[in-house]
Amino acid sequence: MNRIFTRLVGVGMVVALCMAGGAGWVQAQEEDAQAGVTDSMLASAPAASWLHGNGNWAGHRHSLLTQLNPSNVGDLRVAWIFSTGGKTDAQATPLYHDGVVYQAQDNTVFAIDARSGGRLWKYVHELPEDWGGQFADFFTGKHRNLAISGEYIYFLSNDTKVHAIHYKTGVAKFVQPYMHYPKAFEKSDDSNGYFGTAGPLAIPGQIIIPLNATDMGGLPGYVAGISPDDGALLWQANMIPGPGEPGYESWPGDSRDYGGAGPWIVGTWDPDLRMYYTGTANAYPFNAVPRGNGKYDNVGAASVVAVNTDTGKVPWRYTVVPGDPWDYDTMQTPLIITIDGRKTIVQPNKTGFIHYLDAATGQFLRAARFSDKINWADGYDVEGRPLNQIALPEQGGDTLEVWPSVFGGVNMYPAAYNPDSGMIFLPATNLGMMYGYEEVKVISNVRNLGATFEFLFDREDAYEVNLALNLKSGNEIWRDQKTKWGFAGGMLSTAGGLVFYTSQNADFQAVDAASGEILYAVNLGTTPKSGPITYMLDGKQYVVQAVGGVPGWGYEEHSLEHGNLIVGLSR
Amino acid sequence: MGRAVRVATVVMVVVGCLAFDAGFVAQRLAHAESEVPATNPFSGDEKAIKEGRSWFIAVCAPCHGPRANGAAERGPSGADLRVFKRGFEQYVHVVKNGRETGRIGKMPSWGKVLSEELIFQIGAFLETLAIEGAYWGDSEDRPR
Ligand code: HEC
Repeated sequence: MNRIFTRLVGVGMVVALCMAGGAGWVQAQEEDAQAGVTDSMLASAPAASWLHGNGNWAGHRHSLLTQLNPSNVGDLRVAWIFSTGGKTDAQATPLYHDGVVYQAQDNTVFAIDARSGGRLWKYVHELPEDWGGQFADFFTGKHRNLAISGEYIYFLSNDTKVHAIHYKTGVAKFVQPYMHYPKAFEKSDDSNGYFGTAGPLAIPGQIIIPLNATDMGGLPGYVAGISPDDGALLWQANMIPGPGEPGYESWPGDSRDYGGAGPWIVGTWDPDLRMYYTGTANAYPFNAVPRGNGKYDNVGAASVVAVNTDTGKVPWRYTVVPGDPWDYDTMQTPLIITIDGRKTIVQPNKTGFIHYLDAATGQFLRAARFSDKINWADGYDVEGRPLNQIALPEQGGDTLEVWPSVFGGVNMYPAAYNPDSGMIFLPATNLGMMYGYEEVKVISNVRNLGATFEFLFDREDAYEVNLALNLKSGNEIWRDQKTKWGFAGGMLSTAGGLVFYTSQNADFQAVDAASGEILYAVNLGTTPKSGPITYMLDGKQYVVQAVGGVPGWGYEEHSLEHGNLIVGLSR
Repeated sequence: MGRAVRVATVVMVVVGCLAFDAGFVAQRLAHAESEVPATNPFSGDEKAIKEGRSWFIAVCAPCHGPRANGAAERGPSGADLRVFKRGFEQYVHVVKNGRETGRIGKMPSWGKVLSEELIFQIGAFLETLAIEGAYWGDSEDRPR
């Protein structure tokens, strides 16, 4: 347990002492104000700007900025606050370019003055009147990231339309639909459909979009490449293998047609291998009986999938949870990290393990355990298959105790990686569940989950824990363990030797990356569901955290209420 | 001053009672139209309870929780159905027509996609979970 050295600084309180940075402090260059974002800017690690939700194409969330460092981060104070008025989780990580912070919330895109927090423009998209379907309330208004390329912000609205919005004017040059969206049960005989909650990724000449339908009825997930100029579809890759592809036989009967496996978090891209990497959703329905009851692997679901972005072909799929009996989506952004000269895909996921795969071939290298309590399997064998998986629940029978729960050891909240120290930072939790299968029911042609789960919140081993691990060894370096179950919103690492994240309890924290010492904390008043970013403006380093989400996922009594704010901090 | 407040209170109570009665009449009309029985014909029927449980888990539990206590992953619903106390007819009414909440989650309307029989069977299951304060009898006779 780390020594907690917390300095709580109230909002609006002025911190008198402003220490200038010490030796080794590298002045980051602010970019010249210029027209739009070029490919070489997209290819750079984040410094003055933050152009990808996950910082860079490799998903590291590591900024080169060093102005803020352990010796001065205690002087942080709130510089501005903007309210989006959002009604649901703020799951998007903002972008920053040329004096402007961009954020998506509730099918609206906001451009915010990065000095003052004032609104420059907002772009509102109305969902269609018959929008609905299973869990529509749960998903509506959530967006995980925007993309920026050239002079346009790319936004995927919930009804899977891409909006190319001019970064200065807030006016769209095109709005292009891709898939059919889910319709309300009362208004349609078929309420299956795709819903856009995951964001796009900008690469040279393309915008990559994740298309997911998993929990709205299980239509198969796709990744698509589109033209940034007019939205034309360039290619589209099914996460579930088709005829002739390895794994096609792993779906019995017509189960692949409703097998889910949607990508629902923005992925990563490698410019040398020309591959996009994404994690995929659970196999659908949750109940494994219609999918072969654990005897079939259901390749593509609960998997890491590589897509060649020149051809749209899938060079490999690695199934993290074969036959996915536990709703173990493996959706976390797969990080691309070179380890001992080998380009490696590193994915922490719901299973409680971090998976290491060869980026070129998908070959399983190892799985390192990070969750304190795991009982669904003992680990992974050399082939990358789970060892000694527990027996599946019987349909209509008793529920089983399973750790981690369907919330996972980590969930969608992003990790960060510091390539200098070789440390990875995880927003993890420990929580178990009672899990069972029920017969799958169908309403408006939507197959329901066919499963029941109850969480073991009251156990003393249920808690939020933020972990710093040595990536190569998987060994823990420090932990910041809280008393209540939950997830921090996501991690930001900086070359200044800091990690920033906001606990489920709303404490925004600046932590010494090496020791885990909490150097600064301020309570932002509501639960985070996304990670912070950092940028440089007028010679000052800012950190921005969007907060807003359902505290405790709506379970149990919670002292916090829902509200959506974007908070900018600087010295 | 004190007297004025008292008079105002009396007037409010009277108006309130009138409004209440109007609601009552409307309720009786709705009753006549839909011919929903005053109490659940499947109460205590084991087969119906089993079927009702299975449908409850499938379509209601994601918001109301498998124990119907309002703790669920796709919440927050806030509706603890173990203490439902509006009576059977009002149960059927809210399940068929749904309810706006002004919060993130609303109660969807199920009238077009679930048969009345299924809604009754789910009700029969929910009755078995009732805890103190719950009421599943005739909505018109419910304790007020
Ligand atoms: C999408 C989430 C959702 C689903 C699915 C759902 N409900 Fe609800 N339900 C709610 C919410 C939210 C409320 C609370 C309304 C309020 O606060 O007034 C509610 C309220 C109710 C109430 C009224 C409670 C009271 O005390 O007045 C009943 C009865 C009910 N639901 C039954 C059901 C049944 C039966 C099903 C399955 C057929 C179901 N619900 C499915 C969200 C849901």
